Amino acid sequence: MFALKMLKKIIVMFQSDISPDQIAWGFALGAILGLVPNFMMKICLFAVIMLFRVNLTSALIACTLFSIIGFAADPLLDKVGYIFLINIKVLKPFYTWLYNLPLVPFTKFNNTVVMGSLIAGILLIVPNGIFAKKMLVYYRKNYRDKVAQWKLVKLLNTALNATAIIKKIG
Amino acid sequence: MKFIRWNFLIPTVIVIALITLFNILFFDVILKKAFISTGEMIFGAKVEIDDLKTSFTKVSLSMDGLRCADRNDYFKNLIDVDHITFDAKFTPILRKKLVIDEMTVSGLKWGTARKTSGQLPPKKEKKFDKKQKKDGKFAKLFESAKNKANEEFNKLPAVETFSQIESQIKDFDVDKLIDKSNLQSVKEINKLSGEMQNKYKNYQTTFDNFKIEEKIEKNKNLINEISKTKVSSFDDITRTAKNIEELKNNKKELDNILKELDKAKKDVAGTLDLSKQIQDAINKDVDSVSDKLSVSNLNTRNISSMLVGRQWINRVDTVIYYMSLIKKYMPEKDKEPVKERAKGRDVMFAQKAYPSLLISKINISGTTSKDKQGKAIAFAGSIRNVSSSPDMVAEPVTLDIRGNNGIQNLTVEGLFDHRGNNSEDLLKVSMSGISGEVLNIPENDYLPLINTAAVKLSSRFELSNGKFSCGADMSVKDIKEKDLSVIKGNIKYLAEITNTIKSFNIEAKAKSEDNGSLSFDVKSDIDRKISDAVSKLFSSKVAEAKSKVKEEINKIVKEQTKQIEDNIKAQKDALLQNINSQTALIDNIKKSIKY
Repeated sequence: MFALKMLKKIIVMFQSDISPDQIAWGFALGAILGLVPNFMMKICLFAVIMLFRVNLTSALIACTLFSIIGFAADPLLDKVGYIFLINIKVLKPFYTWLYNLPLVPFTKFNNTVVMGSLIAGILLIVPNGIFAKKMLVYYRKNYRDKVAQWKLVKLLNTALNATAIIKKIG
Repeated sequence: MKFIRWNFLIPTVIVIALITLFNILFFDVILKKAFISTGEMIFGAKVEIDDLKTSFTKVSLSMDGLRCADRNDYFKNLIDVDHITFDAKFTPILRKKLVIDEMTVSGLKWGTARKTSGQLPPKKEKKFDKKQKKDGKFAKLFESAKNKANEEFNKLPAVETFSQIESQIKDFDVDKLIDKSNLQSVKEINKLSGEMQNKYKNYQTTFDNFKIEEKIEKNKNLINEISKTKVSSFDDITRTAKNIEELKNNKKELDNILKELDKAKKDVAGTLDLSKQIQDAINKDVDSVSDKLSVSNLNTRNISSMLVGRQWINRVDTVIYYMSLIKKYMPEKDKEPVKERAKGRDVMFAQKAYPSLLISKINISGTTSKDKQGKAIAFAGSIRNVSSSPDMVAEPVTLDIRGNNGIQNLTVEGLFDHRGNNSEDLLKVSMSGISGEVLNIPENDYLPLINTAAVKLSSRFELSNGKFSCGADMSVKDIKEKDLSVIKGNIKYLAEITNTIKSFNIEAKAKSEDNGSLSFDVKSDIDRKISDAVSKLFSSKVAEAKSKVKEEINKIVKEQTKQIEDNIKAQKDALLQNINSQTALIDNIKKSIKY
């Protein structure tokens, strides 16, 4: 059922008139959430996603996608994190300040992979956002009507609507 | 504010607010339970807290009535504290670290009585045992050494010797000690009597064999014949000469018999004095019975081991247990500052680092438990630099507590240095003017009244790089005398002698050996003093018993000797009478022969 609901949400996201900006922001923030390996950092980013009115489905898609990418990119992210934590000496006082703040050290920002993923995620916000928005606009312009005619989409809509009615009666 | 997701923010804020409110309302209860649970797992006995209050604004804690039961005596409290209070630093708490600049512990007491048992419920007890097994390696090592030492102390010959002495002193019953049928002197009397009777019998037989009367009759006949003979022919002369010759021979024979009778008379007359032989036998009997009164020599070193050995083990056990606790909660070396991770590397930045627990100073005040005279020492002092990560603190943990009540003094000094790879724990305890009860030596009949003495104690416990050593010097003075009027029986003599002991010193040591075992040693001059006292008592008791034994044997022998002497005297008189009559007859016939 969960899989069907998720599938419907994805279809709705693509087929409806939800703001492309919301979807783009959701995708960009979801990408950071997917890349960062630390649990505490994930909680913070999740709170940010939940706090702002961004699209959760696109965030979830990006999170899943970039988690897989993150696994593969760990060696690279480690190097990026190392550069930012060690080589850029200007930032050291800032890190030291952060390190001495309460709760912040729990985010493990001082870990090279965590820092590398965070930097990569932040750097990818704009490209990810633009990419997501352009892709969505292009899709809606060229494919939305065609996809709406697909039997699978119609069947899915009918099935989910019937389930909702049964639940209401039951 | 369109971009804010209010339907997420508002419920989240409400949930956080509720959690905070719950914590404010119930945090004290939860914390109290956590303290009790942790304390019970550390001490293995019930922990009670009357009241616990925290303040979120001041970040402070105040605790009233903390009592930890003693695992070794569930009806006593190991620690009893009236009040504990401290303010913690706020920011370290957010990093799971408790940093306290100053803590106050007031009304600290120990050994106070409990109304209820401090034993943990079976479930918690099991949990504690499991935990002990897991992390009490040092304690485990000591436990085995303690059992071994206890066994050795139990086997000490001095303990047996004391009980032997006691039972033997009680058993100094002359009748039980003397076995009449086995008395050498009685046997000797019977033997001498038999010999004497045989002698008389032999003499009598010899006399009978002489046939004196027959010979006298024969001589009488010869004399008659010679006197009646009228010499009328040569034959008469020849026959008379022959008779005279025979008479001469008979006379010679009678002379010899007379000599024999005289010799026998002298012998019989002088044989009745048995006293010398019997006296020698009596002396032998007295020595033989006295041998039964001797006991094995006291091993003087064993006495002090027996007296304070077990107490010493128990004290060392307690100190080691708490030192192992300190070692457990104050690891020697902190975690590595940089460590490799499977994913990435942690980079450490300069930080105002705090250990998980840091208490810069604990002010302590309290009283020792009251002795039987109701005296307690009020003390005060401080513990500094208590930390879960000693390497992060510049100074080692120090302990300095002093107390005085005008008569008694107490000083406790400690140094617990767990910085770096090597650790060193040192604890010095000095007490003076304290009651002898502190030694916990049970009163008994062999010992002076140690509980009434004034004791000066100086002890030192050291745990350096896993090696444990400790020592204690005790000076016991002003021992009061036992009231002899209430002591009855043989033990009174012992009490009289132990009353002469007014003071003694004890030196106790324990240390871990290279092979991992622990050795205990206790020395004291009380060994020699008690040994001398007991020997003195035993000598006097043995002498007294010997004299009684001699008297009793003399009595027994005298009765028997009298009977036998009377009997022998009668036989002797009869024999002498016989000899005299025989001698008279021979004398008469000899006179006749002469004429």
